[in-house]
Amino acid sequence: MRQTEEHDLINRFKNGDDSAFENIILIHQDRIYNLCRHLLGNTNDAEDAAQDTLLKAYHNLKNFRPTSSLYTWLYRIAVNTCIDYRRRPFWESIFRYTDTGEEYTIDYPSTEPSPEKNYEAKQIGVALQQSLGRLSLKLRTVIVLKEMEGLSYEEIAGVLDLSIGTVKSRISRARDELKKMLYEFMEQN
Amino acid sequence: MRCPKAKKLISAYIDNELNSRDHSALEQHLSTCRECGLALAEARTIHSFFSQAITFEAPPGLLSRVRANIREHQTVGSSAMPFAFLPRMAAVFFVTVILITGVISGNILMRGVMPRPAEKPDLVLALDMFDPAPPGTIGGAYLALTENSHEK
Repeated sequence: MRQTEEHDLINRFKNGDDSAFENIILIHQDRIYNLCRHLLGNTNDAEDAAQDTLLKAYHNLKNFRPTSSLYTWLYRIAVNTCIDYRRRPFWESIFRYTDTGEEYTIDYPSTEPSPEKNYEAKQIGVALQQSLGRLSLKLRTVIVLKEMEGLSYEEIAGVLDLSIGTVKSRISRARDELKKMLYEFMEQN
Repeated sequence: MRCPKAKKLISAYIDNELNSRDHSALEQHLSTCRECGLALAEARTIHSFFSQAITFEAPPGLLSRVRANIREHQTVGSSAMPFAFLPRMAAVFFVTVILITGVISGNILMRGVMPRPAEKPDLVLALDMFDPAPPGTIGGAYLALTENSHEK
């Protein structure tokens, strides 16, 4: 989406047009949800965090200044919301149920319905998913923003309020740890 | 450039995030170092795995839930967010009450099942019952002798 169209939507919202915000949600909800899902590792928390992110965006969009792009601003809110979710006391998460009524667990899912038809690709996807779930949140955040959301080091530094050097070293460490975990996964399977 | 530095730069190299000086120095090193060449190949493999990573789409009802929350917020006039955890707190409270009730009723029931310990006679401990030198012992004999000599 072009930045001018994005600014038009923001200006319409600032002038009281709530439907402009709904358009913003429709444009960004998949990216926000995907980020939350990878950072939190389960469906329920990811849904709640994505919803909270969008509500926070609604309440703060009037203060948004177009010095950065809207999606990096939204990512910043989403990452902070996910960090808050990870810090929540355990009793806020233990008695939760999935949409299908199954008991909810915090574990990163071992299998997910995947669009990939190829078995090997599916296995790689699962191995990667499990390995990502074992990374620390700070390493997981940088690698997901880089590899899945395609942000540059400068954008990641802006989202996380870090120096570019820190982003660079965290991404390098994340890749090293992922490499070790993927080797372990391949040896076990 | 030496191997430790080269290995640190490989990740930024595959992301195209190196400045031109580091970029050319690393490429020069990679052309001669087999070990770092292997490390680059591994990093590229990990990077390529992400093309097979699972991507998640937002659940269908997300927009309507956000819309409903905004409306609720507008009608109530205050944020409902701080109380979002109340149903879960209620569930935790409910389970805690059940556990406590279970423990108490278990104790009461076990009292009827378990044999009571045999009752012991009550012992009254008092200073006047304590005899430091009872008669028939060496202490008692010594005390009797000393008392007799005092009386004389």
